[in-house]
Amino acid sequence: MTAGGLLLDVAGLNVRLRLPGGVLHVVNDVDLQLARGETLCLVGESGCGKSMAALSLLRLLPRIASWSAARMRFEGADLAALDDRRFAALAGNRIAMIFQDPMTAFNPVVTLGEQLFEGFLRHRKGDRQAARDKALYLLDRLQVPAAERRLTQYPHELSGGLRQRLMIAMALICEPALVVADEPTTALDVTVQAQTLRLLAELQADMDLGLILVTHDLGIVSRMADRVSVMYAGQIVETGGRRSVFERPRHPYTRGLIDCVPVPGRPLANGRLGTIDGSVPMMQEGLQGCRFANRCGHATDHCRTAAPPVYRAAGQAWRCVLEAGAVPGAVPGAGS
Amino acid sequence: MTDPDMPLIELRHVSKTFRLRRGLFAPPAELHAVNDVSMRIARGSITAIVGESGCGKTTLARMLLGLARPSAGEILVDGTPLGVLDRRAYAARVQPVFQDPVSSLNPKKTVAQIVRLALDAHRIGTRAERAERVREVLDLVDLPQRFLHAYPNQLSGGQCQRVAIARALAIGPEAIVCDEPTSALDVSVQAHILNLILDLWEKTGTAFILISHDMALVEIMAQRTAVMYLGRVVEADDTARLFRQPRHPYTQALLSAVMTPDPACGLPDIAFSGIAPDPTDPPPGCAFHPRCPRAFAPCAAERPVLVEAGGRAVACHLHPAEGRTGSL
Repeated sequence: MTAGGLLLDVAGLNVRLRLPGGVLHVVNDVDLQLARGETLCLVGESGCGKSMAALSLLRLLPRIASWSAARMRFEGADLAALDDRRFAALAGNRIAMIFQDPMTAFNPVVTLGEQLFEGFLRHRKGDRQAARDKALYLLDRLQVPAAERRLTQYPHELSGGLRQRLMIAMALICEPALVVADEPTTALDVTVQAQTLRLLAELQADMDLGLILVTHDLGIVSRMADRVSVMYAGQIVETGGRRSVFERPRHPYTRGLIDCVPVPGRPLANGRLGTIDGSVPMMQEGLQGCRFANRCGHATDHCRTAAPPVYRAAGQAWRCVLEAGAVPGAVPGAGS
Repeated sequence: MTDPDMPLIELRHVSKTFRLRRGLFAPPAELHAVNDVSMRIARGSITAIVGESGCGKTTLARMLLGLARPSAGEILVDGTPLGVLDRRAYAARVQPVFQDPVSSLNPKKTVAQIVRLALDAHRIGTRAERAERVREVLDLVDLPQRFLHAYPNQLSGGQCQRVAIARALAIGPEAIVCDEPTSALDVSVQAHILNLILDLWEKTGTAFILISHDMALVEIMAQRTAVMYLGRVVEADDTARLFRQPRHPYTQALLSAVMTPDPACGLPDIAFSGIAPDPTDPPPGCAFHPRCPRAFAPCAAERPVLVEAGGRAVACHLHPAEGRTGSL
């Protein structure tokens, strides 16, 4: 992949949280690359930093957070160098966000129509009729019944599934190039979830949308992603194409995570699910060695003292020395 | 012990209706959260109740725990109606584990106090015996003894759920009702808790009633599964057979929506509309018919009864009565 063809090219992203007890390094040296029309899934468990990494792209981090990046380019422009005013012209326009909980992300006292139109009127300098046409088109594509009436309704009048579709419409109304979706279907029922993701994927294909999907759900990742980045304790520990990550995971954490999930029709070994023992280390400064070492069955003294380099082979990259010799052509990459 | 064939808990045509006030002058709407549910929970079994939000599974759990009274029908424990039983005696036999492990524990009490509460309330044993029992159940749920004097806010979500399970186990109940015990937890923590429930089930012979929306989880945990839709049981069967041959279109849809990690599959194609009906105004006939891909004429006209034959029950016009109607 050449850097010129990338929609989003982030390298060395760090996010720090200043807490009364000290500074937490919640995102460490994260790289994100995304081509137009591509889906990148950021997957990990709570506290791994996936949401913080995603929110930093839209400058939506909480006040106590600060971020820095060695490189942050979007559509060829330097995203990090933009002042707030110029960034505001991009946010909601070229980069949009879909939040997890549509109940809290919408304004409860403004009609859904007004909330949908707002971004369009602000960024596209179009008139209300154009905004309305665009909104109705999107609601139709998202199979929202009685779309006209929805525009006059308030968020609480809709079911969770419908609200989330309205949220998707709101994100897409300016035809962004990049959408960041943070657990977009976690609050929904399983049947509604599958449909919502399907509708989103259809629109994504039509609009050639780059999608960063933040989720904890490996099932969704295995069916939506073009590429997967697995996060653990603030770092991306493995990244690669969907099939290679699931069929040949290189990092013990990825493997452990996949084994934890019950799969219909797959008998359990000894009648029990796979587990990962131990817990995530506190993400303070000066963590030594591999962050997963305290939970890894294969960890050696070397793992506990020396941070593993990033190995790369066949489109996959991982931070674990175990697979270094096992994979022909695996070479430590420079830095991250 | 009584007759071994007698179910531990039996529900007979249990309903729960809530009256919702809609306004000052409007008549209250009736919400049939649970509607004519009959079910037998066998001793020492794991029974799952699955369905999506609003299907009545949590209301059913609350009735099983004695926290809500059925509007109609009765719940029998060892053949004795729940209404006749002393509440305290019933609580000693059926214990809860709730979804949110953090909010279901009293933040001002230590782990030892929380786990001991049921023993204190039921005045079981001496002080020393209770303390010993607390240590014993902490071992059972794999919590180190050093947590005895910790407060819930010092524990992780998974550890809190272990405390909740220990609290439920302390007085040696015959059944534990788990309402979505892992849906607030991460997958790696969920695996630990599910394994723990299986371990405890094998070690103690306690019956578990598992309320869940997750079909994949149900398959590995339960011997018997009941699927609920809009307050009614639409299908019940031995879990293995239910997954092999789901008969109700709703069960089939639920199964097709399970997204297991499989990079060879795309997104599932759900054959029905995702818009759930208003529970205060359920559709006539079969409540599922407006969403059902296989609905035909009788579905809108007549509500299918739950037909039981050979240990499996289904309420669907596609599977008309061959056997008798009755409880599961």
